[in-house]
Amino acid sequence: MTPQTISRRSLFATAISGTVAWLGDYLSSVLTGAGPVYYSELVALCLSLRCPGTVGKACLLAFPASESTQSSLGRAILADVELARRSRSVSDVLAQIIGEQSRTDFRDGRVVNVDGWILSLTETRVYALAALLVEGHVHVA
Amino acid sequence: MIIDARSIPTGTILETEVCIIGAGAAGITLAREFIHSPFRVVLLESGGMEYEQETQDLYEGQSIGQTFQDLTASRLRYFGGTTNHWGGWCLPLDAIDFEPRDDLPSHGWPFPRSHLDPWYQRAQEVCQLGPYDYRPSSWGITPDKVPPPFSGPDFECKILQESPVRFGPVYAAALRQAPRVTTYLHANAFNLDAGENGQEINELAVKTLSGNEFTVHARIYILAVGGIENARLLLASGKEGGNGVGNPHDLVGRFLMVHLVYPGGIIIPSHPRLTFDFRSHLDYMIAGSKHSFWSFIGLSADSMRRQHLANIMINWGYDFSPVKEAADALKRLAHLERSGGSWSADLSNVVRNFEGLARFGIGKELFGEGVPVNSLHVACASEQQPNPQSKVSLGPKRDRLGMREVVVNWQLVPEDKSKAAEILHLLAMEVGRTGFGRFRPLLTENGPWPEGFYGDAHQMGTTRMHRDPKLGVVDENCRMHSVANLYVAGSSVFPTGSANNPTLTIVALALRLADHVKRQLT
Repeated sequence: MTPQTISRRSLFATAISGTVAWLGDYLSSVLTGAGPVYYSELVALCLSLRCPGTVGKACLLAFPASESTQSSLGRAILADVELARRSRSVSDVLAQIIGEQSRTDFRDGRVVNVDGWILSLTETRVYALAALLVEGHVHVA
Repeated sequence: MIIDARSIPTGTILETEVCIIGAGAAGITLAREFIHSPFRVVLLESGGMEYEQETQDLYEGQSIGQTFQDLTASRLRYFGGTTNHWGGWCLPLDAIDFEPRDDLPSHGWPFPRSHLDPWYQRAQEVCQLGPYDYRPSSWGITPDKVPPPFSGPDFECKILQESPVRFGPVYAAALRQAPRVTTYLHANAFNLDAGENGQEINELAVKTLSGNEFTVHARIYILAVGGIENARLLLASGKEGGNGVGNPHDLVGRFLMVHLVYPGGIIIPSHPRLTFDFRSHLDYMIAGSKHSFWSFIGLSADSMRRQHLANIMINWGYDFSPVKEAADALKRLAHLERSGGSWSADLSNVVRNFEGLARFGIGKELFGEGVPVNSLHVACASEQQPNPQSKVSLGPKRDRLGMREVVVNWQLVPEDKSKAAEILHLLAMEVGRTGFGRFRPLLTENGPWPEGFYGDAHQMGTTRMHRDPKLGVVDENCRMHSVANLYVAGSSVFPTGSANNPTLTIVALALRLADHVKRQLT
């Protein structure tokens, strides 16, 4: 069988196409429940994403080293989520909040250029965190 | 009647009321308007009724600026002109294209779009289009079919009509039978003689490639030889070594514009089965007959004003899921379609994609879902800003008739790219904000134009229209500011070029000019 050569760009595009629905469709069915959003729930959510490594690594590269640790990414995501959550009923789901936060990011211009793709700041952080969590420790050249 | 000018003896003087130079979309439209008038018209066409290489070669020229379209391929020099190979996309310019804008230099026309509407309406018939109605809802694209972000406030779904009518074959018979309109084929306008004071054309010298030369004496002359040749004939006329006819302010040939075409990037839809019915290319029953239209994405006028953006036309192609290939293969295996593919490759394709194909079939059966779309490949055509440094001039080399060839120095300004990049960034933000998907623009403010960038064949602006003689070559009636009996037809008079295809506007302006000239002659 002839091995296929896939460029980083096309691989990333493929990966993006598989995960771009993450905030719009897939996440909405992942987590439901009331109460404050905790880091452990975010970790569980990220681990359930099956976010392709190419996406996660590219998203990690979008942040300076000081902002690309598990704790700093987690804090940043939850800070945004918590702000949004306070104005919502307890039945709101984390996924929906993050999804809406992502759209709000676009509205407010909080976007990150990742390998040419214009992604929301929130989703970029989430993909980056997912990469760290899934691989345990990610070396970024 | 139609006469081959090669049969006209050298030294002949043709007397007429109107001399129209060029039998393309503008020239033929003008000539038709005089068929039932009492005025005699001479219509001069450089070529014959069919393509001839030796005539086409008269278009030779040089490009010294940004890479320009091949001058001998982007235009056609025979009866019917470039309509002999055009795609037939028609739509009026947008109202905002006519508006003077403080945020875009040299922008705007001397009149609003509404002034041109009556002639646009008549131009629809000349171009064999449907009604003068470009509202998407009139073509079946109701607001509920257009998803965000293409339903405003920034981006909108727009309509163009399609009718690649060949003006030559379609209108030759009527002109052949017209008693007072005489068409001369193989007749090359060579020199507009404006005498010593240069304020009126006394005669036009005409040459053929066979060597005979004759003269036309007319009360009114109308240049209609295209966006580059209009400027060339003006610059080549008059005294040898001068700056041409009707050019006291060195404006003839300047402000050369085309539409800027480039791949815009890739959109990954958030859901592969989004409905794309609003992006259609269909034959549609409207006003009792079938007409063809395309829909595309554009900026709203409000967005252009608010964000200081130029106009743009956005289309896209679809990258379908591999399931599409498998579905096609299955059709062929089932002998539903017999062309293309091989049996073994088709079988392999179907087997490999069996699961997806089955799901697609079920979805199609149960829900009427379309083919899953992986990505949208965005293609853009942007407005070029008027730029006096972008110009047509004459070089030292001469064509077979002895006329100096053109030197095209097509130039852009930095804002051409930065405005286009801003629009694509806005598209990325809107696609994300509305949850439509994610966009990877190929053009950024500081980056180069994407691979595949080019200027198209819509050559405009070289005899631009302006009320002020210091800012325009022709006035609002398309009359040369400094030459009383010389008019210009065609896209060379466009002061701003929009992103919309120009032919309907060329025809509308020609109809308007015919009305004006008739009034002048009466």
